[in-house]
Amino acid sequence: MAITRVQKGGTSAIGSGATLGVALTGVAAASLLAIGTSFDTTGGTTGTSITDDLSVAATGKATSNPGTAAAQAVEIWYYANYGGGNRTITLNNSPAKTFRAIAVVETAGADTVSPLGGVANTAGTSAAPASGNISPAPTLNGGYALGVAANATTTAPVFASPFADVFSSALGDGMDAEDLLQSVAANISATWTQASGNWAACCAGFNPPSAGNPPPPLDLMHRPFWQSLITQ
Amino acid sequence: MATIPVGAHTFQTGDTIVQNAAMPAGITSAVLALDVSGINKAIGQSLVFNVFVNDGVNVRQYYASFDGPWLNKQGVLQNTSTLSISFGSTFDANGVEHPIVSTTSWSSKVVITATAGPITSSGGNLTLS
Repeated sequence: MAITRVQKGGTSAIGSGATLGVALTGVAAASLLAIGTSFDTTGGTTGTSITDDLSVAATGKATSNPGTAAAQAVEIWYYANYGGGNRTITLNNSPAKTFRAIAVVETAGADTVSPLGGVANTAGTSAAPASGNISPAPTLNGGYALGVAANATTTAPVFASPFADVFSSALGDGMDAEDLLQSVAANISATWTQASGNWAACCAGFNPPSAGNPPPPLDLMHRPFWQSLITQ
Repeated sequence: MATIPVGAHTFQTGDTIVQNAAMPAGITSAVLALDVSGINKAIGQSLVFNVFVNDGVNVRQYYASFDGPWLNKQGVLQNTSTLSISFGSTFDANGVEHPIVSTTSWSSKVVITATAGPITSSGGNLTLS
């Protein structure tokens, strides 16, 4: 079973503050929420968290990059086996931060126990922001990946195929979130285009349920499998 | 595009409904910008900008808290804070994307929450596009 997209949304806040929330409606049970965030790092790079309107914290932070001269950090969080109804997902910053953005994608079909796969993050100055290949590389068909990049300008990085655009904010944070549905497992690197300049980028892959390993060969004499190998 | 002025207010502790209006059709995003120069961060004051969007079935709540004047990327002090909202999209069973777009049955409500009032603001605008 492949992961599919259900809905997406995003908000950004230009100004100093501690919370930023985005709404989702009719979230289904057992969903995976993939969440991309960005914020100015002048006040530091720590003290962020994700909660919903019921005060339920995110399952975890998949990956992040604090940026260097970009002064804009990027993070990816997720909720596994999440649901449902009308929810507001909040980026919390303590201490308060400026140039905040959050993008959320609800997906269906992800593994409900341990969906997080490979991750990657980096910072650079080229005209082609890229997260780098996520590690470990995907091994299951039908996976999903979310990428986030930010350049702290009023021109956000532009998403690049095969990824699709999720949310873009160009109010001084220069943040773009993009995502990918991968039918056949292969290396994944989230990429963008922009004018040369500082940027930070990250990417996280999520897996559908494992297909399971093949059973051992049948031994009609009901001996332990290793004995059947010796006598062959 | 529709621009709805938000007049000057003195916000007392708690919620203040400052704008409650029908929403034009064709809206996919909203921007709420307000003067925050009256916030005294040192004594723990802050304003929460809440934008509720009612599509006739569901109510979506978007919000952000702001604690007063802030420095932009060039280090210049700013007195206006902004919450920018994208309604986003849904995807059908075939994976086709459908942008969330308002119809004439939609409405919006702006609620400003003062965590510790009074806080005086010269106002701003709610821009729907």
